[in-house]
Order: sequence, then C-alpha cells, then structure tokens
Amino acid sequence: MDYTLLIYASESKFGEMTPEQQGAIFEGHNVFSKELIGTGRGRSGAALEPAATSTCLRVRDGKALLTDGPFAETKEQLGGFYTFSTNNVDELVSMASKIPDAAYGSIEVRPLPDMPGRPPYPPVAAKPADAKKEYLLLIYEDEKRWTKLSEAEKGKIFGRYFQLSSELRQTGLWVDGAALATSDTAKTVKLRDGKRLVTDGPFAETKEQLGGFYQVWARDLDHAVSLAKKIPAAETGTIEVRPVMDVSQFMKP
Amino acid sequence: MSTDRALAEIVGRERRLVLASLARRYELGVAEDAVDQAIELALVKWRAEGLPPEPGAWLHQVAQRRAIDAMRQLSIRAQYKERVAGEADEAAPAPELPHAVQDDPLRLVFTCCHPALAIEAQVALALRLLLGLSAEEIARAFLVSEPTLQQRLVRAKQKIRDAGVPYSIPERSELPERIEAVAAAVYLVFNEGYVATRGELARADLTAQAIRLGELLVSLMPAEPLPRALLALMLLIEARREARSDGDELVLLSEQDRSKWDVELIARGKALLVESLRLGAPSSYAIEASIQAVHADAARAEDTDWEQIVRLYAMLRARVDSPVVRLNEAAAISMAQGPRAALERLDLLKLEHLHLYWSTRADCLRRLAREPEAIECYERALTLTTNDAERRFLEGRIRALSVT
Repeated sequence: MDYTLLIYASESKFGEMTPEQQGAIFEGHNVFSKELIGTGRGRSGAALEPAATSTCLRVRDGKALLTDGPFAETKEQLGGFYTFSTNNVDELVSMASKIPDAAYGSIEVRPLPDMPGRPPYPPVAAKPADAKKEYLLLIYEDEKRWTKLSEAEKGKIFGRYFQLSSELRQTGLWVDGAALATSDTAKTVKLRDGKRLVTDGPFAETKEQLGGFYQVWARDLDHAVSLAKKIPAAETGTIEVRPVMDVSQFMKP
Repeated sequence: MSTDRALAEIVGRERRLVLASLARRYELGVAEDAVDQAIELALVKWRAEGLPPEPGAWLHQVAQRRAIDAMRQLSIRAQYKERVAGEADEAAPAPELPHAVQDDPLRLVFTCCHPALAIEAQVALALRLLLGLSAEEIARAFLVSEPTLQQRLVRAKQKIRDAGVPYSIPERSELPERIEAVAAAVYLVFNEGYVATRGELARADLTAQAIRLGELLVSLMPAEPLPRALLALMLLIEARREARSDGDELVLLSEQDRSKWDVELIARGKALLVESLRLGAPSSYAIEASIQAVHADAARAEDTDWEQIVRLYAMLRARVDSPVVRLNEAAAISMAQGPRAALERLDLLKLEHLHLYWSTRADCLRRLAREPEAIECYERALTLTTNDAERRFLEGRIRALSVT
C-alpha cells in the first residue's frame, strides 16, 4: 500500500529556531529523503512555502472566488509531504517518526488507495519551458458528501479526475498527484523527548478534510489557479494553491 | 508655481510610470525601493542644478541602476531571477523610455489588485504604488497604525514574489472578472471616504483618492465599460458632498440644498455613464450610477422619478440579488407606490440587524399614521446605528412622533 506522510508543524516555532537548528532540520530531511529513496519504495515528496503564500479557490455558480491565505488558519500548518510504500504498519510509523519535524510537529499518515476504474495514463510529456514554478493543489472537501453520492455519480466525478490527470501528463505539467483515503484511516505520529506517540485519526478534526492533491508545474499563480479550476472539488469544496519550495539550495545531492 | 511644487508634480507623474516599467524586470519590492532612491536623489540634484531635459528618462535610468545594484546584493535566488528576466528581455528588447510601454502601468494595476491578495492589502498597494501615497497617509486614512500598514505592504509584496503573482494583464477570458476585482478595491476606498463624517479629513480625502484611481483606470482601459461606470458612480455621489452635511449634521437626500450640488461633477458623471453604456452591457456600477443620475436630474426632491428608480433597482436585483439591494428597492417603492406596497416588500426581508431596515420600516409606518409602531421601529434603529448624525436624526423623528 502507498501512503502519504503529511508534515504538520508550527511555522512560528520553526521561525524561532536558531539558524543552526533550522539547518539541522534541512539536513535531517536530506538524510531522510536519501533513506526513503534507498528503500526503493519512496515515490515523491515536496517542501511547501509558508502558509502565507497560499491562495484558496472556490468555484460557485461558475464564478471563481479567490481568497488570500491557507484553507485553515491553524497554528500548525501543512509544511510538506513524502510518499512511501509499505505493507508493514510498524515500518510506516517508524519512518514517519524519523521525519525531523516529528520532534516538534505532527506527521499524519494516510493510505493512497487504488482508484477503481482508473484508465491507463499516458506518459508524462516534456515540461513546457515557461512552466518554471511548482505548485501543490490541495483538495479539501466534506467527506460526508461522498458517502451520499451514488456509485454512478462517484464514477462520473472520478472520470473527471482521470481526465485531468491525463491532461496534466500530456501537457507536461504533471509532477505528482494522489487521492487520499478518508480521514478515519489516518494515523498521527509525533516524537516527544525521543518517545513515539501514535494516535488514530487525522491531525485536525475538521468538517472539510484533505482528500487529495495535485503537484504541478505552472508559469505563475494565475496559471496554477486555472489548473485548480479544473479539479471537480473546486465546485463543492476548496482548493488551496500553495507554491512548492525550491529546496535545491538546501538539499545536497 | 514654486520649484518644489513643479518638482512634486513631475515626480508624481513619473513615479508610477518608472515603477511600472521596472516592476516588469525586478521584484516589486526591489523596484519600489529603487524608484524611491532615484526620486530622493533627483530632488536634491534637480533643486540644485535644475531639471534635466527628460526627467522621466533620467529617473528611469537611475532607478534601473539602483535596482541592478540591489539585485546583486540579494540572495542567489533573486540573482537567478534577474538572469532569467534578463534573458527574456533579450528576446524582446526592453524599451529605453518608460513611456514606450503603455501596458506596464496596467500590469501594475492588476498586480496590486490581484484577488489572491486580501482586499485590505490590495487597497494599500494601490494607494501606495499607483498613487504614491505614503504609508503614513494610508495608515491615517484607514485608522490603523503605521507599523501595521507597513507590515501589510511588506506581506503583500512577499506574497506577490513567493506565490508567483504574475506581473501581467489577464487573459481575455479572465479580464471581466479581474476588472471587477480592481473596481471593487477602488470602490472600497471610495466608501471608506464616504462613510467618514466629521473631523476625519484624511478619511474623507479617500473619496478623492478613489476618484483619482478611477480616472487612472479609465485612461488605461479606454475601451472597457466598467471603469467608466465606476468613475461615473463615484463622481455622481461625490457631487453631493457639500450638500450632504450641515456642520456636524447628516442631511438626507430629500432634505439637501440642491443648489450645493456640484453641477460640473454631475455633468462629467453623466457623460461617463453614457459612454460606458455605449461600450457594453450595463454593469451593476452602471445601474447604480444611473440611479444616482436620476436623483441628479430632479431639481427638487419631489420631482424625483421614483418609478424609474424602482425599475433600475429591479435591474440591479437581477444582477446582484442581495438583501441590501432589496431594502433599497423597498425604499424606492415606498416613494413610487406608497408605504403600503413597500411594507409588503419589507416583510419579506430578514434584515433585523440593520438600522436602515428599521428606519425604512419606521418611515413607512409613520406615513401610514401608525405612530406607536413607527416609534418602536425608530427605537430599534436607534439601538443599531453607530453614526452620531444618524442617531440625532432618529431621535428627532421619535420626538416629533411622540408630540403628535
């Protein structure tokens, strides 16, 4: 099973650290991502720009509404994620607790289920030269809404997602993307004073939950928003558009 | 004209153009600092040596040099951006003179009023970067401390940089929505100035600043109907400024001394409205401006064509159906068809938190000679208003009714 390891941490706590401590966290991610890649079962990951750079999109009655800031104004914010494949829950929790931010934040672990009826996807085309900035499009939706839909309705919506995923691959804008299993399947992992704390359930109990994401290349924010508008959940939930941090200057190859 | 005033005028005119041109190649914050430094230098130099033949070109050149210096001192990332921007410039040669690119000031408008920025940030950026107001002036006008306002500007510029807010004119398909967002920011500035009553000169001055922004939008987008409608609306309301207050007292439209209305502003507003309607389908701003124009056409309050105003409110409601629009429509119906018809409309509204709802209702009841109910409604209105002049007006009405 594939899992996403969502990193929630207080940006102000990070901001208050000394440059050495911050450097240690970057270095920790460097070590962690090497270990992840070393297992041959790490698929992807991203570090995000601070929540203040976020923009939320809602499409209602065909009109796009943008608002400044992240989806939820909480003390601890999503700061990045990794994906990892394992069939051993102990290994999963152990990996999650090795993420440097687990020591002062929380790691929410969520399965990435196979999507029923998913067609074979086309290969990812070459990235357009003018698409220089990476964005994460975070999909927030009321999970209860899903349980009320008929199989036919769900299939129709899945079809639109598959279509968008194919389109992003064909245009070379695709980096990654996944649908998350519902939040009741989540586990939250913390490391405090060297001790591992594992709780069932998501990091935050909210009505609208993170249900999936796309990671894309775009020319600028307007381009990223135009891609976000194609996500079906934009019409019923919220899409948070957050720039991905360029970590090449921190991460050693 | 004194030299200082001549200089201030030139600087005011050139500042926006130079900034708009530099912002295409450098981060907004870097461009702004560079322009400020160039102006500081220019003022000293020009006072001593007189004006150069082309002050705009001079400012542009000095500011550009400052921006390049600043970029060199900045982080690796910023230098990289400069190089990338430089490469792009080679493909499309950059104009030597800022005047050569008409589009740059428009790019600046759409970046300042980008809907991904909070509306307070859009407004602060527009006043700072488009009109050149100081942070202190903006802070005073919006009743916030200067550090708060400075922080707001810094955060907005950081978001523009880090979130990749483009420095560009939106695509045709996006343009109507984006022009509406710009208009909303400008109209917010106007309303801030409009609601400010006595003693708050800096705030009342905001209506003038909003009109300046409106004029800028019209000049930058001459073929678009919306900016003209917005400017028309603001001018038609501004025309009644002198008549709207008598000392500390708020004077209702029906009680205003119409000889105090500014006929020149009314004429300009009406002309702009006609032009706007000729350019495209009426926006909500055009309909609201039309309502103001009907008021302006009435020499006396009793000459007002209320039937026409009711029709315009119905049009407005078809476009933006908000409870407040319905409330205004009901008030117009009370004048056109009488208080009984208006009460029927008011009964359907759930606006019990608004003092205007209660005062409109009270007025209808008063005219139907249902005094005790009218007094009750005026009293409800009184508990909800925060405006002193409004309060005195309501108290006056209650007194008058209690006597009879």
